[in-house]
Amino acid sequence: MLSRLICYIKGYLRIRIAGYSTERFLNACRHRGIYLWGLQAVSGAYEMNISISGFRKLKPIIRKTGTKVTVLKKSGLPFYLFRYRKRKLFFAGAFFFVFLIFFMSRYIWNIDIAGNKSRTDETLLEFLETKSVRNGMAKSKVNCQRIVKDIRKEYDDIIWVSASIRGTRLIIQIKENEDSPAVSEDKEHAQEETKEAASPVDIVADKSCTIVSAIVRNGLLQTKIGAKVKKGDVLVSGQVPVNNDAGEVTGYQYHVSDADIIGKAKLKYKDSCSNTYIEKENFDVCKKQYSLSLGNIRFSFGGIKNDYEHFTMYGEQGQLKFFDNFYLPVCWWSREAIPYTPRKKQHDTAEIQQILTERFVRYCEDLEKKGVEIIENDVKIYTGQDESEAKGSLTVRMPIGKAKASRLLEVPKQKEDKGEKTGDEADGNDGNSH
Amino acid sequence: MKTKRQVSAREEHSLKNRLSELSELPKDVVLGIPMLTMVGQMELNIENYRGIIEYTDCLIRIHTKDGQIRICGKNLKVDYYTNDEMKVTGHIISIEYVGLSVPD
Repeated sequence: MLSRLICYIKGYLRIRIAGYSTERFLNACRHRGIYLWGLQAVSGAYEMNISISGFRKLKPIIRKTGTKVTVLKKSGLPFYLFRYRKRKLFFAGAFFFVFLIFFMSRYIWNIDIAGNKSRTDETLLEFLETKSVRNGMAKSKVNCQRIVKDIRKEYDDIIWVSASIRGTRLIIQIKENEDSPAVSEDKEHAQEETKEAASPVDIVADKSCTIVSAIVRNGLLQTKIGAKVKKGDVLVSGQVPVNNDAGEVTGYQYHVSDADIIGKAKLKYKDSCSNTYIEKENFDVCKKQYSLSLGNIRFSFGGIKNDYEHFTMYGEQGQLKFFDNFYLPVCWWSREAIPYTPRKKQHDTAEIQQILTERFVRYCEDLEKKGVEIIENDVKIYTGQDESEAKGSLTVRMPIGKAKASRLLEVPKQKEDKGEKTGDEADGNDGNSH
Repeated sequence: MKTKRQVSAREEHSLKNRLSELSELPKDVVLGIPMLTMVGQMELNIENYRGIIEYTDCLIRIHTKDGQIRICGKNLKVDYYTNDEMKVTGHIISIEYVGLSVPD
């Protein structure tokens, strides 16, 4: 394929050799390094392809071998250009085209955002617009590092951003924080703070539950395994008492609590689904509209205006591009409106059960992704007249606790009564147990 | 009766042959003998040849260092013809070595 293209660009001739010693002609060509291809014997003569430069060297060979050469066909770009040499507009157009491609390639014509799950492309594009990053801006004005910093600054849950330019395309790849963002952010934040100011951070229960297991890395455990805790109870305290020889509290060491606490809790589940649904019965008519836009100029053909009360609209959009990365400012749209009559229909019991079960299974899967283990499940489906419900509770083992700044305990007041209570614990646990 | 030249050529041949066997160099390089590569019955690559003696669409005779190679077939075409290599396409029926000396 490539060699053919090269042959076409360089140009070649199809010639016929006739005479007495045609084989000698072939050998002479070979000897002089003239490349021949597509050799074919045709009734006592040979037909073959030869390059233009090769053809120019043929004269002495023809004289020596006494053969006769006829040119059958001239192919390739040089001959094509020569044939149309008088068409000045054609050449002007070709040059203009090359110039246009060159000129267009200096701008961004497509912004591609990948990796966003909780935010739509449009939201991010709107944000970029406020930072004057938009389609049609000059490539030289794009500052990828600036874009990365801006996005990181604006959105806390985006933990990684990469911006790069490929062709006429600005590619922004992001990674969102898939863990529960609030807790980890708080912890990180809190840890940073303690390094500087050393203010204690507790872990408090974010749900009423029974504690199943607790691994404390930092802080003092305030509850026991098997204990029932309520929402808001302190599970791990960030203030570890320091005792003197008499077992009295003389002060508190401040820590940022860090622990894995698993609790058994009950989650209520309720989901409902209407017994009826609306089915669209389409009319045979259909309105179509096609649009084409060049930069900001937009041409539309047809229309989707209609007098029907209900209609469904479908849309499709595309952008002109060369290969993968060379986008051009030419877009096309097609929109289609199909009117319909809404008809109310009734789900049968099996369908309702299927819908509710599917939703419940998805809910369970989401829970499992968050590290929640389901132990018991008594969710049942109740079919009503207009509406059906899936109701019940789930017993689960789940990670419990969220970070919260401690309420500081005062040493002198606590000294007398607290010293006895916490003395044993404080001796054995210096807040860094493993 | 063998001419002196033929005898000496064969000696040289055998000496070179031994040399190539000892040094494990490819024989087509050391001896300059033709190398033919076939793909099915439709493609034939020939290296180390001296020239074409005859070419029609059913017979190609090729001159090599030690003699001739006759290729018989139908619709024989030469795809390319360069100093080092030529490629014959078409329906190849037979390849025959003519006039090559047979070692004793």
